Amino acid sequence: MRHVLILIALLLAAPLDAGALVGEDPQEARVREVATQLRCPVCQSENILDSHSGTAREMLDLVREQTAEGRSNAEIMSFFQTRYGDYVLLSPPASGPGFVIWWIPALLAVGGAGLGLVLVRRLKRRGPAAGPLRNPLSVRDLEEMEP
Amino acid sequence: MTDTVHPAKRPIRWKYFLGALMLALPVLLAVGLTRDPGKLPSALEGRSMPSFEIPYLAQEGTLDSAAFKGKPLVLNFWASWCVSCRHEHDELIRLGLRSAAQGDFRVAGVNYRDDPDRAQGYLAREGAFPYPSGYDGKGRLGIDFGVYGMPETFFVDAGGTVQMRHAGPLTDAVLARALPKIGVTP
Repeated sequence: MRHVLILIALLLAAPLDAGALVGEDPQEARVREVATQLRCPVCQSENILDSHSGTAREMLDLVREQTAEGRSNAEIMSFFQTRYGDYVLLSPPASGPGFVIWWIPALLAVGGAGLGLVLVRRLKRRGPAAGPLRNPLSVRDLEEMEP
Repeated sequence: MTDTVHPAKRPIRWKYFLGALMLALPVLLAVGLTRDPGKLPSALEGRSMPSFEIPYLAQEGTLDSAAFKGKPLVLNFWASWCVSCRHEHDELIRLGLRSAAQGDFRVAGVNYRDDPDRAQGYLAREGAFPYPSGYDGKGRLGIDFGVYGMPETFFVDAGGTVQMRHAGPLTDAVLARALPKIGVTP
């Protein structure tokens, strides 16, 4: 029994260090980080890491080269931004026309909360609702209704 | 304070505001539906053309952007694998002949992500351009120009500023709109 327990413990412990064993080259990790934030201009709904288009492959090579040259993530992103515009960034910048995209959800949330507040206040002003709620059914009423 | 005096006024103002908001959203979405999501604006328009020096497709030497200084330029990206390039082929040949005859503007081609032999075969089949094409095998120049599909044509004025980018085949209507922007009568 003890051997079995040790075996299970060892099996469970084995993957703990797996991250260190298959540790990614930090430079390649940065390439991946940048590449997942850039949109493939050809397929338009994939990032350049996932895309198989030739343009995306070439863009990935450029990211790799520039990372090796020691350029920062921001520098590499702006390299593509000056060529393809904001469109190439998968998260649009919060400035310029892109700010609409970021603020519409907040605007809708505020609008919805406002609407809810107005409705609640109106209901409160009206007082308790008229109708059956004013004379709720008693236990006897319910018993009488049972077939 | 006004709340206590006119308790009924506030909700009405809110109603208008929310009504406007609910109307504005479908209008915004409806406008969005009329636009072609495949068409991307060019980041290059209004900026100076990237400088380049790439080998020619069919001859020795390089296609050098410095050689185009001082004259308006029509720069066309094409490929043998591109179907719509065939639709604009005759238009480009006409434009090239006109440029050669009048000399008031230049035309140049960039063969993009292509196999040089196939590109040559394409020109033999469809008719050679009356102007040289550079060869951009890996598409690096295309990335510098923000190219995303074939064909694309850039209209650059005499000062070297990109005035317009057209994605898709060139037509008389497109040229009539684009050429005046670089100071050329269509």
